[in-house]
Amino acid sequence: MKRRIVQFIGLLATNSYFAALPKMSFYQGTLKGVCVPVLNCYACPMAWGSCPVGTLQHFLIVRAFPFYLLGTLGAIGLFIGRWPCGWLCPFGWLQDIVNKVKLRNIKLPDWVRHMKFVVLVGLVGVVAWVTFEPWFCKICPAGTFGAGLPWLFFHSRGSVWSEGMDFTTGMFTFKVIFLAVCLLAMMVIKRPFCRFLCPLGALFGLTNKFSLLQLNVDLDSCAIAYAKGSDFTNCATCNHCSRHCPMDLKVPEQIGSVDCIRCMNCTSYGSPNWSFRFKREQNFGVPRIEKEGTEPVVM
Amino acid sequence: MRIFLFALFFILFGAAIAYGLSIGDFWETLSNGAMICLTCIGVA
Repeated sequence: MKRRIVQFIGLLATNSYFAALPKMSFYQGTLKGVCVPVLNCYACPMAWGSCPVGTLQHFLIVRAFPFYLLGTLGAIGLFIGRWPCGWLCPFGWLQDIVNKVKLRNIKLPDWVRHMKFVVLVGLVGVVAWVTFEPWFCKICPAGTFGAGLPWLFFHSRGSVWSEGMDFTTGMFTFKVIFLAVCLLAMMVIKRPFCRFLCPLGALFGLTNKFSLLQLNVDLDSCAIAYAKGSDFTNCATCNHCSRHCPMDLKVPEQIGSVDCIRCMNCTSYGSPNWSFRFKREQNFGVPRIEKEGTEPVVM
Repeated sequence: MRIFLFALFFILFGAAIAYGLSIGDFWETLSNGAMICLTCIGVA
């Protein structure tokens, strides 16, 4: 529940220019120079800031090194890693919500998660550099959902800001179809865009290993294993902490990996815990044992 | 060593932000909207 509240705050913090609605326009003030740490399209009518992926492509196109952008993303990642993905990103929240439908639960091969790095380097990097066009933005489902469709609505209402926009192009049709495919995928796969396609998630994921905020497992003190009377050799089959992972990770093995969005769901089950590198571990209320055979110590 | 590396990266990223702001990256970010906006719609 706490995470849902923060996600809602994140949505409002990045998309609360309500004046855009009656005017059927979008915010173009000074705050647009700020890159938000989530996937949130610049063209979204209610967006205050710029999308970091769109901005990155723009700098590549104008052949300028994005010092300010990479410095900002790096500094955020240095402290909290991929935490914005789990707690702030509106598109991530959308995936959490749509996944509640749970038509089925499909698991893709593990190698597919590397595709987001192909998207980052290939589509966002190389293609934008070579073609001088931000091709990721052209197909981004977050952009279609947050900006493309709202602007279609504004256009249908006669917004002067949408004059000259042509929504009958093949590109726009492809964008809408791709969004529909993503929404369908969200119903059968946990966070498919975050896991397999998001270039910003790929960037932040690289900082997970050395960020100040760290998540760990301490299998020696897993309360679930203690309650089951095992010596945690059943960890691979228990899956109690992994069951609640929105990224479908095998938590004991993959916690803290580039795919971990630091949602902290797993810290409420079993042994995962979070800590800041320079301080002692913190574990909120989950019983932990000091050594085998002793009573659990609630911290 | 860990603290040293963290401090080093922190200084590097901070310097990148400061340098980027000094050469106008903030305004470049702000001004990209016109192109991105139309691109997102798929009409450009």
